[in-house]
Amino acid sequence: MRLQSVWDLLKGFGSGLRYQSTEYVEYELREIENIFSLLLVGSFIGIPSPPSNISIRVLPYLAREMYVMGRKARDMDDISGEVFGLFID
Amino acid sequence: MGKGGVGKTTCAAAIALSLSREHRTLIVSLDPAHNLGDVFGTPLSGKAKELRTGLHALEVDMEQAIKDYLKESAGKLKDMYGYLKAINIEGYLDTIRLSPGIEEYATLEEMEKIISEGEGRYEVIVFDTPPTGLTLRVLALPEISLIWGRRLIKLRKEILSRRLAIEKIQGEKKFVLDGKEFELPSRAEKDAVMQELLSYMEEVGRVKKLQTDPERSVVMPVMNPDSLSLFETRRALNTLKSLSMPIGNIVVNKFSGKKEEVEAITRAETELGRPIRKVPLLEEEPVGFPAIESLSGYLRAEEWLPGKKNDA
Repeated sequence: MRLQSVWDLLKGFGSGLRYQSTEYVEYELREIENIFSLLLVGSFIGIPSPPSNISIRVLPYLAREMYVMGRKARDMDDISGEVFGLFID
Repeated sequence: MGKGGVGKTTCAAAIALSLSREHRTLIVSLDPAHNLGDVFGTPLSGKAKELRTGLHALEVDMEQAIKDYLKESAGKLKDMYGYLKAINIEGYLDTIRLSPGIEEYATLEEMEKIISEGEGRYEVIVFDTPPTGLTLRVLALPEISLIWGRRLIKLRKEILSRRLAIEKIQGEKKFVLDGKEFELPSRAEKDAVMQELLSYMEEVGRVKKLQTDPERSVVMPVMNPDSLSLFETRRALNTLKSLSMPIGNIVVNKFSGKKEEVEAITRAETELGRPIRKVPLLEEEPVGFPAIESLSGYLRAEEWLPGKKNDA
């Protein structure tokens, strides 16, 4: 029982370390996904963008990127919170 | 190609009629304000109609072309986002129909479709284009699309490489939204977005290659013998040169021999650097086959074929 608890503790610790090690990369990834979707759908709201046909072709596969873009727009007033969140345990 | 009212449709009809004597020819009107049927004196539709042996004609229904183009996208969007009942997909697509660039893309897509369906059936396809502004936007679309495509592919590779880095540490991840699970691909061959972009680049690349191949394509500028027409033609030719499009001889239509017209033509010869073919201002409107036949005598049709050396 004790050994199981120690094992669970170590597993949790390892999992936390793994997430922490990729947190900055995940932040970068969300930023690039946001830029990617902004570039593609920006033409519909006046941002200089590629020809609409490119956007329409890839739109069916952009669920994740659209979600990220929507979340970014929602959290836009707390960018510093998101950035500082990277460095706080 | 030329300004509105210079006689593009009439000249295109004359060229097509002349070429059809020795080559199986299709003439296609891409102008939203169709006139081709009026010039030949017969109603035309979106299906190729045989006017004479060796000559077929059609007028593209642009509204239908845009609907067909969006219909395919609507199907895919419904498949992916259909579970989001709150979003009215049809309503959204109605708005997209009015987006800048949709008409240009639908025009280009129609041209591609006609060319590919015409392979083996026709030896020559003559496109009667809309006025210069829209035509240049359509012709520039492949180049612009290729530039954007390259940028988007580069950005997508950045996304995939980061997903792969995270995957190697945390394992494969899925993205869940409103109960629906989505794969998060980390490799190009499994990423639908990357595959769509690459497929798009290939298609557009083929169109660009066809457009710029002097053995297969040529643009015939049509102008009137006046300075406004000359200025526009000069700007249009500069754009065509920047797109590496082959340019044929220039047709100066409605020439009546007035002094100012002769001066305009002399300027055109000097400034445009292409041989000029003059078509006189006819006493009667060139409508109907006899009139078009007579007009075609002024245009040496064979010299318009791509690959022919066009000399003065």
